[in-house]
Amino acid sequence: MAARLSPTGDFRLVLPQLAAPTEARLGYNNEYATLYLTPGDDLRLSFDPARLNQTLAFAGRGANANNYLTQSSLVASLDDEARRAPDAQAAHLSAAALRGAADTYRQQRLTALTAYAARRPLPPAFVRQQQQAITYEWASTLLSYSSRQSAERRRDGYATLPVNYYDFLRELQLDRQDSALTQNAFQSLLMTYGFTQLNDEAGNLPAGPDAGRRLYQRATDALGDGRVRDVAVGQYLMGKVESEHTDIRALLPDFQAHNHDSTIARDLRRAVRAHLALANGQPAPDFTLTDASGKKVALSELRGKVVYLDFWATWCGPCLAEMPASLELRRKFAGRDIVFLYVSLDARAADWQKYLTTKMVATPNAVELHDGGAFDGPAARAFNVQSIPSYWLIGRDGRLISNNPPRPSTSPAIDNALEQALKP
Amino acid sequence: MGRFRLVLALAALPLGAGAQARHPAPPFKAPAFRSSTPEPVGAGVVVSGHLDKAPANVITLSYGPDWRGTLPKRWPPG
Repeated sequence: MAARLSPTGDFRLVLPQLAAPTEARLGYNNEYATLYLTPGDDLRLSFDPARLNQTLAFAGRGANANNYLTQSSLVASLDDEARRAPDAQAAHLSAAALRGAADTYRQQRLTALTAYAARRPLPPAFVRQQQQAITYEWASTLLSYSSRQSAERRRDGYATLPVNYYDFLRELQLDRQDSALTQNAFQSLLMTYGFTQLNDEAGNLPAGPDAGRRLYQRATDALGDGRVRDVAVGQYLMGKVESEHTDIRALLPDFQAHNHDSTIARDLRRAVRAHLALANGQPAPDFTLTDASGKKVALSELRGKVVYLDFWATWCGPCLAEMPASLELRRKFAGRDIVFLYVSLDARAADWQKYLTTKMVATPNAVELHDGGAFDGPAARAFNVQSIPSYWLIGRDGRLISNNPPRPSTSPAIDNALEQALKP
Repeated sequence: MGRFRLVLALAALPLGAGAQARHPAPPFKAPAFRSSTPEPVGAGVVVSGHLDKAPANVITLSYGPDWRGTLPKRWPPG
């Protein structure tokens, strides 16, 4: 639902009936905050329109739970930035050390929740939900450990997992968590589960004649044959289509045979159709955005040059981690017939401009554009960008050479891909 | 100022009552914004507030997450 601000700046959103407490998402000017709504709540919000997440505060019935959410989300962001969160340290820790760090962090968060509840009464259902959320996020950290390790660390044995590493999954009893499917933390856990547990050994979509059967067997063994499994497999396949542009059509017959949820099936069909429109060899969709000087630039104006397109944002850690390698790549290919086109999905142009002036090194072969509509903006919509970083390689003829090219840090794979694209 | 008040008063009159506009405008008080929205009943929820110097004039609220959740996604997840 949406409400228009009155001429004096007031807004009022009314949910006439709410059957049970639920998470909700408040959106303003391409920024979002999580809310927790309990039937009967009367929440009065205040925030600086330019900094929703940093300044959001609540009064009225339901305020305590929502002020806790805002505060814990801010603390989590600061912990990430300061590398206090175990996720931020995982790449350099052994599996045992990561487990220790994750356990400690989980306990700190549970203690902070209890301390907050002692100061300001929280609904018992909310406290239980937050305790679960902390546990789900802890499990996501443990699940994603392997994927955060570099190939070198894996090769050198630093990231070897103890035999019983995944025992925590059994303790979670994921197959019995149907009621948690409305929680974002649980959905994120299932997404991480699919990404880390349903890929084949090489980290790819299972392939081969009975790939679909094997995928479902594995998912059913761990998650049961109910809705938790359907959502986990749906999230996994959706991520493969939307973020990796993988053709999942070979797995659809098994999906249709096992999946109970028509909504997931419908959404996947749509995603596959969108994927086909952005398949390699198809014309790249056009968009027009503005650069830092306010000049309008259309993708089609770059026709005649190879374009390495990079969707990113200043809040996206993995995107920023690629920037040094991306600069190196620009220097390597200086003077060649290629444009490095960066499209920022920052909601606030000021964040983008600040990063450009303080961190980004300008080179003649780089074009910096801003899509203030973020994931709903013209460029992200045209390329069906659902997550970032997202890279695309476009040929001189304006057709897609690759909808999932190597990342800048994958040299020499990316060098070879660009050299190949530059061949007459 | 007088003309501005008259326009506001006309806008507040019911349809077909234009003839009354020739009379001096009655004291006008803009209706409070909240009076145009029904109050919640029973298990309803109200989310309200006020913004100064707002760069956008629409605020959204989505709830009851679907199978993909309500939060923006990251890939790889974790």
